[in-house]
Amino acid sequence: MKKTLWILVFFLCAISIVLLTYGEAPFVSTLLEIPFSFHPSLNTWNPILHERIPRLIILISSGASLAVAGAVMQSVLCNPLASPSVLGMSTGGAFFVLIVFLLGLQNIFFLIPIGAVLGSISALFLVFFIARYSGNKTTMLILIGISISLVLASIQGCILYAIRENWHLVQIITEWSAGTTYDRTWTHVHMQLPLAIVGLTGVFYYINAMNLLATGEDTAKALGIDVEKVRFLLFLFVAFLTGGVTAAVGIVPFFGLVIPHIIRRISGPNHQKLIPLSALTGSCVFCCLDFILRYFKMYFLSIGNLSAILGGIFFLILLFSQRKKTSLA
Amino acid sequence: MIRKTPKLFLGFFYLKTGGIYLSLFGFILGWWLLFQPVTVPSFSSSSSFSVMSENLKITSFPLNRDTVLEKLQTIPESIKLTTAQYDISFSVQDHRGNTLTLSKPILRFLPQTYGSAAILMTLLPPYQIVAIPKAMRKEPHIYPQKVMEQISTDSHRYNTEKIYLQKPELALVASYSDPATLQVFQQQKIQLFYLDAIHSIEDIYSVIATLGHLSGKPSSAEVLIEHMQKIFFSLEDTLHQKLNGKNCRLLYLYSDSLTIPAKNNLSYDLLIRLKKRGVDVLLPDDNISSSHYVKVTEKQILEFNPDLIIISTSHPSLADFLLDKNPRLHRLPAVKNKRIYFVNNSFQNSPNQYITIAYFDLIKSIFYDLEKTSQEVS
Repeated sequence: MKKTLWILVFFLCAISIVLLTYGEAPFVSTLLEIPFSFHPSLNTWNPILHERIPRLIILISSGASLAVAGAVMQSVLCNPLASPSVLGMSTGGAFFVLIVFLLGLQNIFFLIPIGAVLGSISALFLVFFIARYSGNKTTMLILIGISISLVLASIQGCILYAIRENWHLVQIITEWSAGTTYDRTWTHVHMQLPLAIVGLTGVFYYINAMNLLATGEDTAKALGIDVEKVRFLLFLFVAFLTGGVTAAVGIVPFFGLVIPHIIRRISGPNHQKLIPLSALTGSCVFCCLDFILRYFKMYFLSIGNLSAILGGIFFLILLFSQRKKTSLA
Repeated sequence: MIRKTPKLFLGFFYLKTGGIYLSLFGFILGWWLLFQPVTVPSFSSSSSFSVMSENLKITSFPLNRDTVLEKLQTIPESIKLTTAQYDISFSVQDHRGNTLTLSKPILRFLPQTYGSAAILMTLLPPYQIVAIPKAMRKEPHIYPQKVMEQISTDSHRYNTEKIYLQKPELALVASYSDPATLQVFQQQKIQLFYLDAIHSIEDIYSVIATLGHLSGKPSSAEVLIEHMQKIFFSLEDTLHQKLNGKNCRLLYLYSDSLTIPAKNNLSYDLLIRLKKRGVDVLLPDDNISSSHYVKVTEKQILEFNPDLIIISTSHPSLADFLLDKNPRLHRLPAVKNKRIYFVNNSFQNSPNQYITIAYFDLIKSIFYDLEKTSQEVS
């Protein structure tokens, strides 16, 4: 475990250095100019200080947030195919951001991130509110979550159809919802990083409780766990993590599903290994995806698109290899 | 746990020769850093940026205000007349109501919209334009290719660092520009100027005049406006003579569906001009014409019974598809007599001086139809 963690930390450092050095502006001279960027009479913008470092922080925290959020959802819902979108959190965040765009408030800063986080949390509360009247069982939570997600996605579709003539707005909404890491600034870091820290700390705090929850609700209750409270808090942390990513990057499909799924296969179901490994692997993979896009100048794709394509293909391969193994056995 | 790990995924790292990989990584990193061009930073912005430009091999145009001014001084006196310096500071308002006060002309522009980019390409030499929208390069039939080739950068969000290195002073943006990109521009100390409410020919004139003032070339802007006005006047005068009191009912359609231009559409303004000059045009009611396009029904078209149909399209074959989808339109005499004309869609909504070509296309279609009719009669 320790060795694997160190290898991942080493790899993360390596890819971080590559991301910090790669760009149009020459690295060394730009690095040497950083002290001058604090000079009040000069142009204070510095490509490393104001573009590459915030982007790197966002990449690391987004990758970790999505992977950990997925791992928590898969554990708590006892479903290896679960992800934050199952309880409508991704769609909720996207829906609120769409409203911000519709009201023309997108240029008022912090409203997009606030909308994303509020949307994620509102969708979660709505799912829990409805589930409360339906027995609050895990199966019902999943079904209600999927229904809310579908309803919100349909309303989004209707809104986009209604405003189709306003192609400028449709274009900017499409660009945002595709998930992008271009032009990320400290504002995005300020909005996402606190949420990621709170979410990740909360999840790490409940690692042992998650191990007990994985044995089943009844067993966990018998062992003194307040299942409903722990589950709600974990979902709240997932909402923070997902909302933060939606705010800073946009929608990144499949990432929260594939990474924890692979790590679970490698490390096993123990959350003390699963959660840190998922966080580190998520960060590494997210940084690599961004570097691939930049290095190969794949401007026609966003990080959300690339994650969906690669994640989908990789997930299919995993499923088929699993099926093959089962049939051989 | 490690033993369970498939070799495919992490096996690379599990070999006991980690030191070799560490050295390899160190070597690659060293190589990477070695090939980064090294420049000495300086408080003097001009020297620092010119060194950077050499590293990036962008030597074809200057990168700062001083060098642009130097270049302007080499321009002959006759041309210099249009590069007036301001005696006093003046203020300009953008389409958002923000006021920009200037005491000297802007020398480095970053146009993010088609309208502003095309106008600036006419008013200014290419080295004063930092970047142009990428999609403009795909339309060399409208925009001057030679000028576009001299502006190497695209004003796209993935070029933030490249744009920063060229030090633009003013970005001409739209309300639909990406908020994150606008924030980066503000952090780079690039002033933002919103120019996106171009719904009529008058709006285009106003934008040209504004850009003329901003760039210190008000006379050039005036000449351009006057040139456009003369083209419109000349076309309308000839149309008046050709029509000579004849009745002409025109239906202007888009090829993808039965839609006609509405109030916020530049084509609407062109059609209004035609209507004022005696052409009967099917236009939406004022109370429902707030958007860019309005749907019309087959019944409305049949009732209007146009003499000729002009279809704005990127490909004429799409028009056949439109007629096949709406078979009742085949009853129209205009369709039966093949009095359908196509105009290039990309010109029809040009929010710049090229709107004159769009108008020329419309009037040419009417002329051609009038000639065809007179030949049939004779």
